[in-house]
Amino acid sequence: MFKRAITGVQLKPWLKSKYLVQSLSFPVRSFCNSQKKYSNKGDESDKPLSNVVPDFQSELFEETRCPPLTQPLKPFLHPIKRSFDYLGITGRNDPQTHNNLYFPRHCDIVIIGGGIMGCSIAYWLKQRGHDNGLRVIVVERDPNYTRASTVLSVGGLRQQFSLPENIQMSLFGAEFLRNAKRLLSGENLEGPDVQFHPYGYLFLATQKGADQLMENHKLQTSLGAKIKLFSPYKLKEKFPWINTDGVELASFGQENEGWFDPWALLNGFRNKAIELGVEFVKADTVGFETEDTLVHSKPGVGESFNYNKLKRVHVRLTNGEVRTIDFSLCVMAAGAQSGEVSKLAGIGIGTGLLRKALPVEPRKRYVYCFHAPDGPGLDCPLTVDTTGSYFRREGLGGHYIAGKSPTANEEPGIANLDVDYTFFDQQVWPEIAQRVPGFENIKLKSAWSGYYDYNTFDQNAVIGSHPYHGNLMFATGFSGHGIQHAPAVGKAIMELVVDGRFIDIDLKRFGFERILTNHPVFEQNIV
Amino acid sequence: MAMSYSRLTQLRLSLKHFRRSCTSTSNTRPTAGISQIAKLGNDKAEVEKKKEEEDRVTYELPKAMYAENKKTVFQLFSSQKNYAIEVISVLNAIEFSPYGVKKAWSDWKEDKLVRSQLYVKERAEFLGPEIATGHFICFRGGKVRFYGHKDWIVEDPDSDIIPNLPRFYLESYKMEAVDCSKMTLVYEGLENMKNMEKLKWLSLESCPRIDDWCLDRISGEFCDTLEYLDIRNCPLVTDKGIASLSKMKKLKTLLVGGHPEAKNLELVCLMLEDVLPELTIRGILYCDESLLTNDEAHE
Repeated sequence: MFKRAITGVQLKPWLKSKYLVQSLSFPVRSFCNSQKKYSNKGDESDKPLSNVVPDFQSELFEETRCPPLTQPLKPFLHPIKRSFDYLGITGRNDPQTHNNLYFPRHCDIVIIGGGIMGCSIAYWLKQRGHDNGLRVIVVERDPNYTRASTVLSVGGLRQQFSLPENIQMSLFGAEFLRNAKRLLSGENLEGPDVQFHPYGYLFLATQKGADQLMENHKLQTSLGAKIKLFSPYKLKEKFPWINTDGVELASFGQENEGWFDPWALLNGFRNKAIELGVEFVKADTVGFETEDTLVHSKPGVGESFNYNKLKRVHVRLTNGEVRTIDFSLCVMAAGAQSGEVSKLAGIGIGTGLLRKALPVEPRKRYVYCFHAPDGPGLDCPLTVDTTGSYFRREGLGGHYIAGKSPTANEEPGIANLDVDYTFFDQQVWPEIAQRVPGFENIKLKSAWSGYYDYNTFDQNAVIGSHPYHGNLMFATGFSGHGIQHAPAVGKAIMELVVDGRFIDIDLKRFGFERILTNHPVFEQNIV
Repeated sequence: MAMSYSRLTQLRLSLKHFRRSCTSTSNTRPTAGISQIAKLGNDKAEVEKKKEEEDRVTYELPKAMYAENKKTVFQLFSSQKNYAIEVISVLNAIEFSPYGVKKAWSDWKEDKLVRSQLYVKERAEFLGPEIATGHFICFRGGKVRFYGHKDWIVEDPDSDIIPNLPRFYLESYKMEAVDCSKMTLVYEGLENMKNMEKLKWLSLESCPRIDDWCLDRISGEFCDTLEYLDIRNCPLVTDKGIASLSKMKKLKTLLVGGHPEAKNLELVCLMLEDVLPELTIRGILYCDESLLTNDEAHE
């Protein structure tokens, strides 16, 4: 049942499962071993395609085969015990009884991962599909968020990107944060106080990077961000504590830039989502089940065919039981573990369209907190140095936070969240002390580490549905700047689900297809 | 190996747009299309426009490809968008519970307030930014003063006219001072005050809706010119907003007071005075004299 491959008939991009709106426009997906099933008059003869990249050509003929995923599972419930539960003879406070009676077994949309992305998507979906319109379930394995990237993040908000999509998402994020208290409030629910610190971001560039900075600046201002460029002389005037050696150009965000509290936003989204009726399930995803599904023919376009459609997710509860949830659509918002969880759906271990795995993996990043009595005063923005290290003020007591993205060969291990203090002594401190002479006299107070959901392909988000599994959508791979894009991504996924296309911000370039066609979308200057 | 594709797939693969997917670096971008245009000898603007068009990813098949579009009368009523969910939203607009009705009413009032203060591009284009701001402020109960004029321009409470405020663009009118005290200005309304060249004096006393975001906007907008700022009795302002005023390098006088949310007001003001050397802050009592004992008071 699971080994069925797509034979003979082509996989047409505009033929999706019967649950989605027909007027979808999807990227090219028809890479199959197809023979012509029909022929029109005046057909062109088969000729080799010359303008297709050679390594891609060979992959076009592969069948897309979905490997066997998980055996179908029907959780066994003892009939007498079940009757006792229903009749109320066993105690209702027993968690086992609770699971037997109330565990959701089917839903419209299941969101894997309950971090900022998952909660944001749940909120936007439920807000649009009123009350019982859409049944949304969020599967989160750790409701205390001990290792989640969201709560360990520095919480920066900036519009200084080089891709227009990122800038637009940040602008929308800023607007949402401003209205967060009103939008995420409800009956008996007070909206979150996101504690936005409007201190700006300062990017420093050497002579090599100055041109790129100026280009980025033009794009940012054309989209409505308020960024100002500074020469070294003016920079020294504005920030007297800075050492402008090696700095050719600096760009400073004057409005809607700064940092906020990600924990508050997460709680805001989560509580509002719960109020709107989203169900949060504390479980770990262990597998997916597929079903041979018929995709209908479209006259004049193609014939019907079968493919392995994702139907059910297997989740393991805390007591070890494995339960199933039937869904119509699945959203992958699992953060750093998204690559692993996608493998459970066959992405990366199949052939054809399933040959490339989701290139998102956890990467550990350290953040250090220190006290510097001679450090910069109240006007210290989040400064990103030419070397890649960054620092910002924390609170009003002379504390600062600093960090740096390590180079490829210095990547720390991801087994645990232990902090390496030698990285600070050898890499971060010399660089920030060189930039700010006041940081020569400091005392390291504490540090923490968290995982980036790092997209090894091009360090940008993967948003959109998978070419083969049309009902599996990704919202992951943000590589360190996801928290500020969360409201916009939630809204984008909601538009994709309900309206079938992106309406507000066009995020087509961030689709999964770029990984298959090997066309990366790079961002210049990232932290 | 025979390459057999449907005619549709072949056509799609041969379309230029297929390869023009998502590169942002010019190295990997195929240049076939652009060099063709350059050969024609068009000027740079057209080349760039074409480049932009090619950069924009289009994945839709040309409509002539499939025989879906039958020419019927009912096509007039068809739309790309599926409006079913909008119908449900309209029918569920007000939740008929006490909380729902209150929420709908307050949302409507909030929407009305924001819409009445939105930035009107035509006004700024016609009158110029300075006089347009004057109109915006005065019509909502504020006062303005231009350079070279001694008196404040304010709306006459009895009649509706505003004396001395020009109704055409005059280059010599530059805004010097704006008094918005007790106005319900919102964040969207502050957008109307942009592009003023030499604003020196701003008062937002007792404005109930001014919060940290508004102060961020003000300090971003007037960072080079403002010398006097009054934010007394704005209940939503916290010390983060006051700290963001450190961007204003020319600020000489700041009036604060009446901020219940600002927990570390004195500390922030001290640090602000550190950063801005010309600044004096009024309304802050750094040292509460009644707490001193007799000996210390006499020192």
